Amino acid sequence: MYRISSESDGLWQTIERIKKVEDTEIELVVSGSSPLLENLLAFKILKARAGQLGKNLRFLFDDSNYAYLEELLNGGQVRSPVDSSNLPHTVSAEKFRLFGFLSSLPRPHFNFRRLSFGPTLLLLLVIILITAGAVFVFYFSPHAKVTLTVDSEPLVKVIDIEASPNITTVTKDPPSVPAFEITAEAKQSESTPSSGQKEIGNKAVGRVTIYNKTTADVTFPAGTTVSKSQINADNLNFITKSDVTVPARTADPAAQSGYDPGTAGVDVVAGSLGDEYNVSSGSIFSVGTKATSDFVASNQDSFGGGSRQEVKVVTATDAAGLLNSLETALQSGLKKTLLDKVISGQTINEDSINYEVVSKNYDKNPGDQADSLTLNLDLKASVLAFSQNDLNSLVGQLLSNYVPDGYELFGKDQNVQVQSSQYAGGVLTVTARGTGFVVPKIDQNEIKRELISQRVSRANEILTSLGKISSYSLSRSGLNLLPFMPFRAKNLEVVVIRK
Amino acid sequence: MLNFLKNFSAKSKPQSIALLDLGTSSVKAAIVDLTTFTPTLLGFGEELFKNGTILSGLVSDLNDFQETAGRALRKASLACGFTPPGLVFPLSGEFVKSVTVDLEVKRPTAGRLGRGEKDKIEKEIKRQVAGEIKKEFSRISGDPSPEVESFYERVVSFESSDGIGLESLAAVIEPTFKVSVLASFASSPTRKLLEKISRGLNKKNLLVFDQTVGLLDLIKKTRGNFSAVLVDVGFQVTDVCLVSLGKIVGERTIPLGGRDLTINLCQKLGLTTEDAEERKRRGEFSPSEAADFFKLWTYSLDQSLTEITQGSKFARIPVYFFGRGIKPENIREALGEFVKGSSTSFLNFLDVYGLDKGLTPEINYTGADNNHLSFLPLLSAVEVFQKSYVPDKF
Repeated sequence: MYRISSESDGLWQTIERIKKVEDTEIELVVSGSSPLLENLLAFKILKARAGQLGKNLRFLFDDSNYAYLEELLNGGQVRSPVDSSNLPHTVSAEKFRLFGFLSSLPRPHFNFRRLSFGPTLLLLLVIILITAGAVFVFYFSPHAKVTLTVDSEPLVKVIDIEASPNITTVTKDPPSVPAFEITAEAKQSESTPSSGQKEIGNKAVGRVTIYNKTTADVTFPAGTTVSKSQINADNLNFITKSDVTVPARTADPAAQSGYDPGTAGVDVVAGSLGDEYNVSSGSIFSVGTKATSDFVASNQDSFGGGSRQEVKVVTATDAAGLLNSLETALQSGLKKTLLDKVISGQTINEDSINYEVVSKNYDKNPGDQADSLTLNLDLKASVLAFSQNDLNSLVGQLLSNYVPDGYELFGKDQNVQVQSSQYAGGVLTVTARGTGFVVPKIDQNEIKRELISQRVSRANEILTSLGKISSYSLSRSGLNLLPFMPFRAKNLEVVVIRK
Repeated sequence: MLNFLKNFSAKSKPQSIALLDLGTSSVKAAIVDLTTFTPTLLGFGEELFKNGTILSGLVSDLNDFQETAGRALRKASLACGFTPPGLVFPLSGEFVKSVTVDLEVKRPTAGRLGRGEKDKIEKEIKRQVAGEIKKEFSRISGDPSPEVESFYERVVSFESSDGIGLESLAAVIEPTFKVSVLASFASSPTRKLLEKISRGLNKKNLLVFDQTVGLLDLIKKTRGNFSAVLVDVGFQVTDVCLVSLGKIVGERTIPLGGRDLTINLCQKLGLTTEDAEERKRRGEFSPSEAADFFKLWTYSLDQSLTEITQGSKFARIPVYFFGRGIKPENIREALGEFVKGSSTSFLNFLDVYGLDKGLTPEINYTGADNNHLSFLPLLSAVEVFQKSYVPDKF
């Protein structure tokens, strides 16, 4: 083990010295004045460079203040004691490291005996007086008033509220106000002309003879249609009243056709009402669906008894229209009656009036022949009335639940409008639209704290940066010799005006 | 009353500043007028330390350190006839390090940030940045509980969780967002050292930060969010800074510099120090004549990058060298044969970057001679100082 010392050598010189050592185990004793101290890199380079030269370098520090370096660089090895007597290091009193130079700085030296207290006290008194004056001028005198203006914003909420006759006081949960029932009843009679029409009369009757030109007997059942054709009009149809069998033709050489048709008579009735069915004698009819070349019919006598006329009848529409008309007339009167019964401070919603038919009597039934219809109607109306004050009070209370964070309700003038109401199950559900106003919450004390003792320009910056206000004014009074806000909280007034 | 005091702390931008670059061989000073549209360099000066004032980048002789800074400042003042009351320290080497801290901020709910929440998040970001700085400094010094201070912090980027850039905290709506903060830091005694220098010069200490931040800003102007290794070769130390996508990943200082190259040339060629220094400055040597130095230097560059990335490998990445007397062809030739055997891929591709490629701070040089070219890192600090008067992105 070879030991060398480092006092004022730098990195270069130390490396050169290490190179010259033949021993592979070297201890470098670093004195407290070494310029290499407090640069860990220098020691790491030394150790690594020595390693490159095939030498193992250990560091020993003769100043215990650098024990941490020894431990760090030697990997926690226990140091061997440094025998300083064998080392030629000398620490010059004039040399000291950058970080150790403080020890050489001159120290302050006082001699209290040499101080003279007479002039000192006088000086102190003057200083105290000047200070007191300055404190008054700068600390107590300046006043300032900051006026902040905030604009209100509308807060609109639609709230469902129950008006119930079953409660006697206003409740918030569920939102309810007490209500009571008002009723009225009215009777009225009204007539309306009948609008329906009906045909009445008799069907024509007669007898026809059917001619069979075929060679077989043919039976026509009752209900067989015999038709008389007309020019520019529908056929006149008649219905046979009974079965009839018409025999086959018989040969007759004398006849032009060489035969005589078989014949049979049968009574017929007209298919519809009307005197146009009173056909004259000798008219020719087709029979059922048979061809006229095989079968025809003819009447020897004219048909008679056919007739027709139109009369007025009552319809269902007449009845419904009369009821509607009479109900409308009665409801109008009843509504007025109900409103007359509402006293000051109470309110009803006209849309929520409930109407009930007590009785209704028509003098005719639908289908009856009559020129007019008369209705006697008895109608009853009822409605729930509640106190407008109760409603306003409740909406006002509920609005406060909807005020956003950082805002507060401003003023007591909330506007409450009933948008709609619905009556069901004996309870009226009122949909009310409440409109109030909110303003931002301003913490005057906090603002005051921020403004105290600030430069006026800075105070203006702070006030300008307040996002909640719409405008501000800053006025100063007293002795304002410095461009500062008052230093005393009492001298600074912060006023908030809400619009 | 605290608010009242806070208002009086608002700073106003000075009309002129003095910049002090505390190196390992000299102190450079520059006086810059900030009232012109483009800042104007009015004067500069450089003074060398005595031998032994700085050892491996650390102050050994405090008195000479202070006196040299005073002389450099006076030299700069002679050119313009006055000395500004405020000092700016763009530090380098062992004095300061930088790192970019990437944080993810999670909030319980989405929405614009209220004033209280914004303050809370800012505090939390600062707290976490302080924690990350402590960890990084611990890795650099080996000290498990170091006394470290943040000198300079700047928000590099705000991003939503899905990578959309945000202008500032005021633009945040998402419950989760990312913020990157560039921070320069050093041990607590460094601040006291700088305060002592300022007091000694009867000046006010305006801003302290890492010179690398100035270089970073300067390169970003032409190369955007670049990735590279920045190597600033000094007299006694070499600063190595890994930049990834425009953000400083980490920074280390190697206690090797031009002085060690000179020593190697002396030994190898049997020259006097003066002759070796002259040949080095002129680049009249072959890399094999300083093979020992270059081997150790290259190896140290690799080690420092391994330290920064904690073992992670990077893809091929350019290396930009800065420093007085740096000649691209020399560096390329000198390092080329040594990087072949490198255990890491960091040095596989070399690029030497300097003023000849248009890397110029926006400075008017009226009133100063052409030697300002060697003041590049110092002058790039002017823009960083200017930026410090832009309202914080928070």
